[in-house]
Amino acid sequence: MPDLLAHALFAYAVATVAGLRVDWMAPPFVTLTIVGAMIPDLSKAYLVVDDEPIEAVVGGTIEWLALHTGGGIVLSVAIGVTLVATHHRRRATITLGSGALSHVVLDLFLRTATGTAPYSIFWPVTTYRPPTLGVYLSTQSWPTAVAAILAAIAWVLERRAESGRNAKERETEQPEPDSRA
Amino acid sequence: MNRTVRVVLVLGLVCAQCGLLVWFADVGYEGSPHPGGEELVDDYDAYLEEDVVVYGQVVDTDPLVIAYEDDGRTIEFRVTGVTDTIEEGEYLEVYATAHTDHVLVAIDIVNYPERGHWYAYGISALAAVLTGGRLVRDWEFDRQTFGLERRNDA
Repeated sequence: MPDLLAHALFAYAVATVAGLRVDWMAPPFVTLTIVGAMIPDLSKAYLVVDDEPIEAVVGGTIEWLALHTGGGIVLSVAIGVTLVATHHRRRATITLGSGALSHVVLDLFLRTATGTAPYSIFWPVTTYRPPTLGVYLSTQSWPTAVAAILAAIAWVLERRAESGRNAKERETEQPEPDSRA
Repeated sequence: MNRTVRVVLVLGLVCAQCGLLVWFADVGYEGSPHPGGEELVDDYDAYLEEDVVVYGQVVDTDPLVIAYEDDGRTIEFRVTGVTDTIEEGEYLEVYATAHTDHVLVAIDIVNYPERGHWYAYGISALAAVLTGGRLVRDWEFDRQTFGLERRNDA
């Protein structure tokens, strides 16, 4: 993966631009898209969580990378959707799911020694790892800079659209000119 | 959805997720077609002449040696066939063929500067905090339903 900030900024940019066309894509749903973009990296839990107590509970060895596979991502998104109020479920599914998808897409640009994805995205269907484009490393900062520029452009576009909407509202709120005058 | 149904559903999904973690641990080489450092630490000689993928830190550059650490166990590999300039402290992902005496003949490598790791961890932690802040700003926990509801002003 590029760093998590790159994933978050890219998801913000995509969701904000989508919001220019999709009425319901208000800031709370942009936030859910960003959260979705972070979901696959729950697999990094091994950095802060001790496996042993969990393995004692589940009764077997665990492998956190499962959370970065297709099956793990689908289950994580399902947990997120279940936690959101029922009347937002469809929108939560779309935003969390598309955020997670954006994460996987950005990972397909990584450079790896084998030239293939660093995880099995289609598991448990298959362990096949698709080839990656080899554009950047996970530790480079320039992808984050590019994502920040995209996010800034999206923010400006959204501000302009909002100014336009406000101006239109003010126009419609003005009283009709008095025809007798 | 009332809160009992929601709690049961979430618990069920979390159990399924735990099941997936256990299931995936049984998938060879974490789903990779090649054994990794974990397998080589356990029994290096079982993978001789096989293509392997090892991620480790450079502990010497002449000859090039990387150290792989797993659960307190460390194994060192001498890596040959690398023409790039490598510095001590860097991390290497090595795709190579395993030979006797812990010699890996590189097919391809990717090197990551040591500071790149700290950058990635630091900036990722920042992103998690910022996103958490946005989540709290835009959503609130409904005690009646145990679900997240949009804040009125969001």
